[in-house]
Amino acid sequence: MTDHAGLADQIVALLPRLRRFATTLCRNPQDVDDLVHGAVERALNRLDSWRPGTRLDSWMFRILQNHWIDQVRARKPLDDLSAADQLVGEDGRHVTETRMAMSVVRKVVASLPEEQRAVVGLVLLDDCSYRQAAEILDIPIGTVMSRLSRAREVLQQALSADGAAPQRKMKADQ
Amino acid sequence: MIDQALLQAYADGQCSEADSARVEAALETDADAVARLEALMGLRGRLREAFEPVLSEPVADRTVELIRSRLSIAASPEAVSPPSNIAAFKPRARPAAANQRWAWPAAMAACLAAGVLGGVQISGPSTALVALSDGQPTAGAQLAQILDLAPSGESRADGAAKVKVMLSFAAADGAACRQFSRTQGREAMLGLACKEGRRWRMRAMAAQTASGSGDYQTVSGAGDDLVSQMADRMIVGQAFDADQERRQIAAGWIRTGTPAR
Repeated sequence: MTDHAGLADQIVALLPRLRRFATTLCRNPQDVDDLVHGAVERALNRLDSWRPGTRLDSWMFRILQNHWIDQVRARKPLDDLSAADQLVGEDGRHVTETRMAMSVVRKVVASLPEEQRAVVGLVLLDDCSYRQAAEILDIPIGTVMSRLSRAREVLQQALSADGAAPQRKMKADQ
Repeated sequence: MIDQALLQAYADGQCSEADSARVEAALETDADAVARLEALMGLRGRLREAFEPVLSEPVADRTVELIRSRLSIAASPEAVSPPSNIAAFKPRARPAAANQRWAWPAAMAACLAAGVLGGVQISGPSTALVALSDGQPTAGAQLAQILDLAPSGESRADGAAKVKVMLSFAAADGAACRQFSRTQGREAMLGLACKEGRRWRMRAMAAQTASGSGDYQTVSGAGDDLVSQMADRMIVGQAFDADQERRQIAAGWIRTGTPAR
């Protein structure tokens, strides 16, 4: 029943969600479209590894995540933590402008470690179940939960500073 | 004292029924748990809000072209038509009040009830064109998938039939609606469905007499059939353009016209 044109529609319809996930992964917003395009290309090259009847979105998210890891390994210097902390990067002004345009929330997400950004993108933004996220990231469910809770703690703390978020006093022993 | 991991799972909708009941019972007496849950939900809301705009940013043309060129060529030749030609399918202006004829919905209902749809199955297995859901006629699974995903102007296979969405628009009540044609052999029909929750509720259907050329677009484009008149009556403003449609496809055909925050 899934003819090719139908499959094309389904993949096109997924692009906005893939871009949102890519936006949580990439610290530099300019890398988002390249990451999505690369992932789509990779998916199209191995369509035979998708089994009709299984979730197309999970499969695509997983490919995007793997592609992202390969990209980061291939050209590490551009996207490490220190680059996100400095407002002036290689192309100075432009990077600064892009970062300024990002909301505070997005900046705080960008400051999280890579593996926490991935679970935030999947569970909190894309409503994946813990199981789905675990399958996409190829990690145990317990790891999804602990990464998520660490990410939440950091986000909560960072964002409560500007007062808009309902906040909870951190316990003294933490 | 309720455990933070359990509360997190509850906030993420990942609790079993038993755990949910435990959390809910605790929330009734534990103010600290309520505050913590609010913090979890508040954070989630802020994150979604911050990243929501990304969903309506344009996707890269080269990526869409890559997908279409790699996958659409394999489709039957007549299934491929230019994607951005929605205007050709007659965006309609809101009709003047004088044109509103309240007799139509009743006529449509009668039409449906009597099954005046030569050759079209109304009940049966999941392959049925229309299924009853809570007593309402809703699009069957295959048709619903086409309505969810196909851009206007492109044909999609529905079993042996071909379905082509003709236009999409927002109705006065905010629901997203799509008018489509369906042809199978010499049988043809027009339909109008609006998204309600996760379902496409059929608002009108009518059998169509094929013109000599087999070109139903001219018939519907002229707006002289019952379904087009129903659409004319329901539409607010203009039909969605290609961009609006793409966003709706991505978002799952959300209601529009709700007051902006």
